[in-house]
Amino acid sequence: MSIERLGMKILKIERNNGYFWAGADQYIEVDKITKDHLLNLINATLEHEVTFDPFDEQCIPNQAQRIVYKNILEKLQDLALRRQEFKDESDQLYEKEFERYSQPIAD
Amino acid sequence: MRSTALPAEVCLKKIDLHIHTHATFSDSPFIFNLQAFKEYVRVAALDAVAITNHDVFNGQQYLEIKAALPIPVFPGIEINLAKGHLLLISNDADLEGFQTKCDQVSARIKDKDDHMSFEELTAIFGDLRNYLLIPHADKNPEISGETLRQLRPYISAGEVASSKKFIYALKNSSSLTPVLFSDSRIHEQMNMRVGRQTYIDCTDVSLEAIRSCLQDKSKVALSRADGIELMPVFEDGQMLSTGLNILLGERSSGKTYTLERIRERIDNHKYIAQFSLVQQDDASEKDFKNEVQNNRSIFVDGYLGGFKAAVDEVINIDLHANDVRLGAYLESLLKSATEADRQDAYSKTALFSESEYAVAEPKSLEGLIDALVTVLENLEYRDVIEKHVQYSALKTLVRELIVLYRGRWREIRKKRVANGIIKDVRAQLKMRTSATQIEEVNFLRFSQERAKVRKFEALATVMRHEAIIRNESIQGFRVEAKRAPYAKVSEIKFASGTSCSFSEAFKRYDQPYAYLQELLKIEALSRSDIYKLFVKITYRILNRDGFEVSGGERSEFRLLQHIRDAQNYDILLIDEPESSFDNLFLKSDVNQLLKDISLTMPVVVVTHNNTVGASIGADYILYAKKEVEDGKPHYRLYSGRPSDKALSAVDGRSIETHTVVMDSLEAGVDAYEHRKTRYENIKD
Repeated sequence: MSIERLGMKILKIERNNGYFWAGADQYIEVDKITKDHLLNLINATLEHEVTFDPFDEQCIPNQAQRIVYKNILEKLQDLALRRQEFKDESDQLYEKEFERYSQPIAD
Repeated sequence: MRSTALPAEVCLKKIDLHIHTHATFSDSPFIFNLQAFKEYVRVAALDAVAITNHDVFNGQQYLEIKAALPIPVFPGIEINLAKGHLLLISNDADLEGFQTKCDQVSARIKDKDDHMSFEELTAIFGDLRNYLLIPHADKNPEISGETLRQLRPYISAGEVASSKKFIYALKNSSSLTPVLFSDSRIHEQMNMRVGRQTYIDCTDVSLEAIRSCLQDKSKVALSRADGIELMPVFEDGQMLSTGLNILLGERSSGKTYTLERIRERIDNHKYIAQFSLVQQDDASEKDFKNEVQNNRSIFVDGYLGGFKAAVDEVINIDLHANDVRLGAYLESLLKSATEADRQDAYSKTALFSESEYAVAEPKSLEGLIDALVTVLENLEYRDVIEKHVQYSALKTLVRELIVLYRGRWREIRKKRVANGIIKDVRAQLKMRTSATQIEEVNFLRFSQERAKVRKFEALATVMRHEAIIRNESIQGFRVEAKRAPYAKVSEIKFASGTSCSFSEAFKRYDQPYAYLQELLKIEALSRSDIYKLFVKITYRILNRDGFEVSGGERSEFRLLQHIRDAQNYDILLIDEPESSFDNLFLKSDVNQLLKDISLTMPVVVVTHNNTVGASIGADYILYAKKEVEDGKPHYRLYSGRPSDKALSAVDGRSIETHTVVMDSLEAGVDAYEHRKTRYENIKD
């Protein structure tokens, strides 16, 4: 499941329903989201430029969907802001060792 | 042993290539004094020096010093390199270029904890073969590991911290050629640090000549005439043997003063004062026990290390809470099943009954990477490692594992984010639905924790079986460490070092996990020390007959301990060991021990006792004598080898060795002859 397009929308609101992107061109209602779907969205957010429809209470009459949509949106937005930080943090693990052993042998 | 003395015809030059003339953030403050520098060069009779300030080179000051000193002065710099220090010394052909390069070092190193890498060093200085490079070898802060390996082709010698380490490096084939330098800060009140310079066998003192000379270990020495047998100790040229010295002399002849002066000049000395080992009263028996215990605390920490790790593993496990949670889970599961008809929009949401991801840190991968780094960084066994594995392959492997590790790390972080969302959504949905939500439960964690507690209980039970856990032999004594269960509440209280009450906890002492839970309830108790309260470790010191030691034997034991400890110092000074012991012990143990330790470090023994003085087999005799000249007292030190007919003073005077030994150790020839006759009579 990969994102081809830049600025891909991974959370959207249409026809009074909240949807999440589930790979390819498929979108599913947010009340059906499982933890694996969630992990895919997190991956997409951290590795690509993605967009989201803002939360609008009026557009989602289903209360359960509202809860799920709003919660996921907030967390993914926060994550998108911290994308670089996340990458840097991971690159810093064993940074010195990685660099040192990337050098050609000195002898 | 001392065959490494330089041949007499060699042309020796005395050099000190580690001198500070400028206080930086790495030094204590001092004000440079040119006059003091001149005086130092004169007193130490130096043939060449180098200016090596921390991460800075001051070309103007260098030129002033060079103009003022009658000997070659090399420009240099001491660089913070990979957590160690490196002396980089240049010739003065391109002073401007050297200044520019050193300025780059100064720009890079802004604090005493800043360090540059080997790559940065070469980027600044280019071809390192143009310089004389001397890293701190057996001296703090030392350059080691990968950086030392990278530097190795360009290194001429390794700087050591003391004459003891110099001798050790000379004898050790895998060590670099050692050099001992003063590392002096030149100021008005400076200590001249005599004996902290190196002699090299070199006809001229150009940088090239010094560099080529340092490639050969047989061309360095600590003293002009005697290679590594003798080392200078005082400014007047007085020598000490690098082995065993005895310092003789009558009362008030200047022995203690001489010892004091040695202590002033050699910083890292071990001094055992007269009578310091004799047990004075009952209080000191307690001190003695504490001392024995403290000396072995490292052993106890090591021994209990594994047990401490087990305690740390279970200290945060709350089995009772786990049981409660499991009960709640089962209850909610059953209830949810019976309420299938009560489902609403909230409870039908997928996340309502979604469980969280189980996440575990990639500890084994981390361990693997660390282990490989250890292999790659190891210099000591590099040859063996290289025989069996290719370093380039190991490096590729480490890199691949690091990439894998980073991936795992990212996965875990992502799963944590997902878990956070699941938890929040579930909680919000739960508030709005009347349906029962199945409680979150982590079976894996519960089972793991239960297994951990079982292991811990088994281990703690074994630990309480009485056993001798260590038998350490020290010259005929035996230190026996024994483990046993605590028998009384008061013992636990004593071991905790607190005034807390342990009576409730002690009731559960037989059930280790329950006991731990009780201990955790005692707030004043430090969690990191709790592991010590499971098993009691006691010591006994036994004499050669297997009985606990007496007062006199304690003194003997203490002496042996001190002498052993001396290994960590650069010189051992011991003042009249006979003041605390009988002759039999001196002859049978102390002499041998001092002789043994003198093979690895200089030892000075002050004595009047013939058992020590005459039987110990000293390498060098020092004789302190008060002589009255023109009505004034003169304190003179005569010295020489025991085989020399006469001992001589630095001013050229001499005195017959036989007379010295007879006077000092036998109360004169007459007394000696008299005693001899009496012994013979008794025998007859």
